[in-house]
Amino acid sequence: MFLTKLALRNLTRHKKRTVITSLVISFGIFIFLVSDSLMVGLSDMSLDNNVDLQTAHLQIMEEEYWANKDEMPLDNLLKEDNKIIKEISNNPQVKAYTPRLYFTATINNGREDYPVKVIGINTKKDVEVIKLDEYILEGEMLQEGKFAIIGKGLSELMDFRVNDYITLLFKTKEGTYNTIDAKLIGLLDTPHPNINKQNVYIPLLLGQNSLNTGDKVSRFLFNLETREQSIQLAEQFNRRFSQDGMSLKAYNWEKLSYEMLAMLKQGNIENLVMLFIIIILATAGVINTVILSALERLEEIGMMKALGLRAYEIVYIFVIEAAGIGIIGSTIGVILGGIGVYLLKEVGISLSMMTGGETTFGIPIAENIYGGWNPETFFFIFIFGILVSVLASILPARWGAKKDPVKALYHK
Amino acid sequence: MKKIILLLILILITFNTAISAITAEEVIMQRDENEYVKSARVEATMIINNSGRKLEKKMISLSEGDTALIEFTNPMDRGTKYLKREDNLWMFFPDAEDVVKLSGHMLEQGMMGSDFSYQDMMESEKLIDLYNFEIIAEEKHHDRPCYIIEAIKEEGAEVSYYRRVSWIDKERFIGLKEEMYAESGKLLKEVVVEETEKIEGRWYPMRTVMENMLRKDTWTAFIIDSIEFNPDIPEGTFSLESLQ
Repeated sequence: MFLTKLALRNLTRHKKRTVITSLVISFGIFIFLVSDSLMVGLSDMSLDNNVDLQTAHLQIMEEEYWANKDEMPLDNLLKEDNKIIKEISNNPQVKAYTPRLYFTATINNGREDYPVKVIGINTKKDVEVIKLDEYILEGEMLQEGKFAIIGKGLSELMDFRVNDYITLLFKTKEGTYNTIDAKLIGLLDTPHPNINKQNVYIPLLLGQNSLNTGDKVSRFLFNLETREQSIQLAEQFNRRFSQDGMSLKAYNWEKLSYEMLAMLKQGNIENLVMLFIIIILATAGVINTVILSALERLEEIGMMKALGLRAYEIVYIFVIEAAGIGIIGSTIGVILGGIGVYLLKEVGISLSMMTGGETTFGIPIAENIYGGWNPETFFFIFIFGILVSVLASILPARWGAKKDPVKALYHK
Repeated sequence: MKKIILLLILILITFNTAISAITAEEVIMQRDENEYVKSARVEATMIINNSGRKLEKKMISLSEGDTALIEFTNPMDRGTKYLKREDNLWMFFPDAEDVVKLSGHMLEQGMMGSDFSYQDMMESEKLIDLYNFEIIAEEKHHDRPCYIIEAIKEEGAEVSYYRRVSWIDKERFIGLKEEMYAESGKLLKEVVVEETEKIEGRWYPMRTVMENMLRKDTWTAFIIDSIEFNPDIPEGTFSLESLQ
């Protein structure tokens, strides 16, 4: 008890040192908590945006189409008026479904062209699954006819305004060039940058007629009651398809967002690397402080040893002292981190502001990023801060404690 | 006497009809005979004009049947090579020191930023099997009498352009102008042959200008500086190894 008291008194005796070391630890903890919150927020928002605006909860397509879906081919298509799709859509978990036809084209403004992704949508059904109509910045939502809507980013890039005519150049299934001249009736501004920069939406019928695909579509998109239902429902649909010997396959939101999940996983690894750097930083700070205090207090150590204290008791004093510093640092860090995370959650931060507006690194967020709240991280980092501090103090404390008391007393 | 004159007129009319009764397919085949080369070594210059900015590229190409090797020789692109074998195209950039296979949508891009797409450059099939031809008019193009032949793609044929309209010299059987249309009827590209020359008994286009009609103020001129038919091509010229 005496030793513990002595150790704690040391904390107040060397206020400056205690404060500086605690601040090093708390700074590391603050950075970690804020970056973790950003990663959680980024991950949640990316997935939400992707599911809400691109993939929907579940998709059904031909298995062979899935393999090449990134190229948006015009083979392995499905019949638009599809008996089995109609039948399975009666499932009570299905809120709505819509057919879509995807193909690649170049958009042309008479001076230059730019590669785009064209999506033929059912103008009535699509809004029940993907709520693009909520993101119309100018003009109106897509209607049947020779009309198109595009994202704000693409319109700025190609200098298009509402009521302008766009020309799409693409190849039909037979590899023959065809064009669509469509009137631009609406501009989209969604929180998904890829949609704003790459996508052109046209009525499904216009796409089918221009591509000579007849009544075929690329995929069916489903909107369910909740995102989580899609995993179990996709399995249920797939069992049904394989029973009927069909080559159709249902894909849940996780499979549809696998690229993004991989990217986010990559982000988690980066987070771990950052954590590692913070550990090194904090450890170096603690080791430095303990060595300095051991050096400064060599005489004191000598005196303690002369009074009969054993080496392990001296190590104990230093370790308790370090634990105290760890607790103070961790507490300040967690409080500061809590304030930071609260601000991030409420106010958010603009990704384009951080990157100078040039790029969002392919992250599908165009608006402010809002932080996520992760209580486990707070608990973990609090304990971690104390542990690092304690572990970092052991070696230098042992070095000090091993000194010969006479030499230690007369080291000057 | 009257009878003889009548007979002569009749013979003349029949003869004339026989001459003008040349079919569109025959015209196209005669043109193909002129323009289709079994093998050749060509030194050429490509002038790319984009909104007044001109780029000049020089190249040497060796071709044999449906294989070809093109090497750029102008300082900026020196060492850039393209190898075409049947429907495949590979490219070698000396800076990257790597061979890249071009496929899919990349083939629709303009070659080296020109108005000739890779696909246009690769077109070596004879069009006779892919299109239905019809002579739609006869008119003069730059003082040369021409057949105007419309080609509409055969149903199911895998070709880039749905409709082509060609001005073919009636006497020399060489294409002097061609318009390429999309299925929607939109004019996509226009090729005009500005200079022709008789080489080894056949008329051949020496200066061709391609214009992308979807883009304003761009055109590309392809000028043949020298051409040698049936040259000696060393073995292994058209191998992937030769690219590097």
